[in-house]
Amino acid sequence: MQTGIYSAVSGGLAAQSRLDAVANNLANASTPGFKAERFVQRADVAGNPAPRAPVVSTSIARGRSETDFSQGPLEHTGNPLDVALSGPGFLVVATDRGERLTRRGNLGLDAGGFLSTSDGLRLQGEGGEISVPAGPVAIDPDGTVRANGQSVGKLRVVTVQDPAQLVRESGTLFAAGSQPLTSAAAGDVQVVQGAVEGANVSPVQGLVALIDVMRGFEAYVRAAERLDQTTARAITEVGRV
Amino acid sequence: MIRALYTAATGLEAQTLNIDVIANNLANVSTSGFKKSRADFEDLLYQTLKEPGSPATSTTQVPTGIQVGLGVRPAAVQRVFLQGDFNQTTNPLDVAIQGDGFFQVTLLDGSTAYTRSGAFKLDSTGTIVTSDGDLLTPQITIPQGADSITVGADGTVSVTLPGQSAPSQVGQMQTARFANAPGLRAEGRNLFVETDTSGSPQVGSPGQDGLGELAQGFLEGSNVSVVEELVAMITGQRAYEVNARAVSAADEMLRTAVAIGR
Repeated sequence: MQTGIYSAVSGGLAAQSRLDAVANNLANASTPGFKAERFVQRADVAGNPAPRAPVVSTSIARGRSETDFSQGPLEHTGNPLDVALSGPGFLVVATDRGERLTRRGNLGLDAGGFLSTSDGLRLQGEGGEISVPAGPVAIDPDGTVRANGQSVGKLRVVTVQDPAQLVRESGTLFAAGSQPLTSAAAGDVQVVQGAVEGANVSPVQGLVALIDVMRGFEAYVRAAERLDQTTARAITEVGRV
Repeated sequence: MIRALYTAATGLEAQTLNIDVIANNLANVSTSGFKKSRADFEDLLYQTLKEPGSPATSTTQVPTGIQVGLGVRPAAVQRVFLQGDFNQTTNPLDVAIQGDGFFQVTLLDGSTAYTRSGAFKLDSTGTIVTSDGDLLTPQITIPQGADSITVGADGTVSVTLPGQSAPSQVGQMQTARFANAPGLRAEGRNLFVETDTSGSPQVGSPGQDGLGELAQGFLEGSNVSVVEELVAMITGQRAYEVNARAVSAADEMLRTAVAIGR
């Protein structure tokens, strides 16, 4: 049997996964705080070819998904409760499942007057949840929240040692798992009031990736077809007397 | 592949909602007291095929796993209660609120609604009403034959009656504010009603306890910025377009796959 056909099929399957990732990025082009995902293909060699063995090893394309944590564009909104992080770091929200990280800064107040996301998850300050009394709100670059000129709390901005291990969750959230959260070093990250961070998705790159994936998939399928034809000829012609 | 088709479809739906919200903002660009809205999105579920950090061997870990996102969903349509522009009208019953607060209005069914639109009128009995005829709360009646009506910054309404030199006070406008104004429910006709998330109204005199002062002879315009909305519309339209392209790319790949062996 031709083993190459399995390599071609694995390439086609990887192309599908890449398409899934590109489609998800483009669907989230307007999602604040969204970080693009990338499907990275890699070659896995099946079997253990002995030196000088007349066996061609079969390369199987597999992959893993990576998150692109680069900064998204800051979009000015003028809304006093919109914050964007400029620099590496995350805001911390409390969920039923524990603390989660996010860069989605379109905040609001819940019925109790606490600073929360539009899903109603309360923001975690350095001294617990932040209750904001009515009145003009100012948020300093270091995350200090002031209402009527009085400090009412400070937004907790954290980093993790290895962002690649963060698990993506619905709602533009990331779960840190067992990684400890460390406070972001002052000066590394700034809290910008009156702006939200847009998705770091480039529609142009997305379109190019779409074409690349589509044509790549076609090439894998054609390769599989050719290999199949070779096998067919071997079966029908070689044995003919 | 089928996943990508549905993922791109969620993107198309999200951008449709985005354009709907922008169109409503633009339609109300000249509505006094109108507050613009903004559609907020969040990413949908993730299908985790391989958990990041799961053990690859007994001593090593998978540095990054495989998670496939399944698209986008609307998280909220958030109303933005920024101050609108002031338009001078010199009409004595046009009142704008400078800062926080809403006028209270009693609807036909007796319930209270809240509005930022201060284009008041008088009804046949001389009572102050909105353009739709709903009564301003607390009720204020202007006596017949009053020469001039003055609304003070603190909401005091006084009139000068014929034959009298000093103005006499006939009522006091009060405004209400909420801990979380974006949590109010829009009723149309410039009216908002209280909900569980808005908190209960704190009623007081304008200019006190953080309530904004009143400005007579002015109307608060909408806080819609045409340029901002147009830019948002263009980006929304383009985002719709790239999602449509993702649908056709998935379709094309399906077509290629179906053609195998033909």
